[in-house]
Amino acid sequence: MRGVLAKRYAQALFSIGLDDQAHEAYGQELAGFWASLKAAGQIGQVLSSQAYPKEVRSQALEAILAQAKLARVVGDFLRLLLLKGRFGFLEAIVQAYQKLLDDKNGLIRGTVTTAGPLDDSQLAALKSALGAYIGRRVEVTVKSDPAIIGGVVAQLGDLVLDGSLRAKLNRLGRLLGTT
Amino acid sequence: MGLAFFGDTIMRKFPFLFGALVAMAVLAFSVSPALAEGTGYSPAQWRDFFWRAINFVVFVGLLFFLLRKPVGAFFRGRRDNIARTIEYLETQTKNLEEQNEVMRRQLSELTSEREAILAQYERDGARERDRIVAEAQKTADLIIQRTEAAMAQELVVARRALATETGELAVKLATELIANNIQPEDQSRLNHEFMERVIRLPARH
Repeated sequence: MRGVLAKRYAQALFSIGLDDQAHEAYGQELAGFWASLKAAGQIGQVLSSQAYPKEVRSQALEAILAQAKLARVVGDFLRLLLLKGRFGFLEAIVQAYQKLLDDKNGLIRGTVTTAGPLDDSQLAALKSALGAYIGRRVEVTVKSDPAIIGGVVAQLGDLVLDGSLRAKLNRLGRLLGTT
Repeated sequence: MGLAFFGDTIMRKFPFLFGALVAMAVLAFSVSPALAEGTGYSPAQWRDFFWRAINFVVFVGLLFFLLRKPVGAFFRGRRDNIARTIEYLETQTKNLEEQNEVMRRQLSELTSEREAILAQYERDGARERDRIVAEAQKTADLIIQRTEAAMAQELVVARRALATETGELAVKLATELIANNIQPEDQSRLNHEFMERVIRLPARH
């Protein structure tokens, strides 16, 4: 439910952004606003919480917007979220918007997990290989996890390519267990 | 007149007795001292004896005359009664024999019926025994089948558990072995292999 609503709000803003040819800027402003709010700590909770009167939350938002200097559309979007009591969905909306933006730009984001360090050339080669396979530009976050023992685990959206030694050993274990 | 009739009757029906009476009367009247001499008894004693004897014979004759009919009737009646009794008993005997025959026949029939019932019981018993044995055999077969199936299942489960355990142990040992011995160049080679595999994959788009 939360995901569906967030996606709808993101879709609405993204449509306006496309019309305004400012979808990249709206996305960056929204993501930046969310990052600032998250960094500010308690203020984000105040804006999201129904426990505070709407006027208080509205005044707080206006104060932040006055400082943030966001595009009018983004500001109105945030005011709408507050009005509809959906400010708590902002993180999911940012993620959904980013996805829409990535789809629009032919970009897919993911995670690459390795047991050992991955140098830049290897990472570039890997991104290239993954991009060729998936047909999009690939942006990955690299994580290190010794539990996979060796090899690489790449996750791009719903797609998981597991080339780790841990997976191979697990497959071997299942194979031995069924014989 | 009665006496004359009595004497007439005796004379006609029992001439011997009448003769004896007359002879004894003659002897009583004719006993003389010479006849009695040498016997040890006097003539008067002999006459007394003969008269007593005549008296006894007459008494016996009177008894016979008087009691002959009633005694005869009594014995005739008794004889008839006995004959009737015999006849009755014979009839009863005959009836009882007939009844006995009937009962013997019935007994014979009962015997055959009993034998038939016993035979039927034996047949029923044999049939019931066969049914019970067949049922027991069926149950035993079923139990054996189930036991065999359970054993086979247990064997499969045990084999699978053993294989799983062996696999897990092998994986654990292999993991420890690899983790302890893997080198940076191995990591690099594995990364490269992964990239090679990704490159070989057919494109999704």
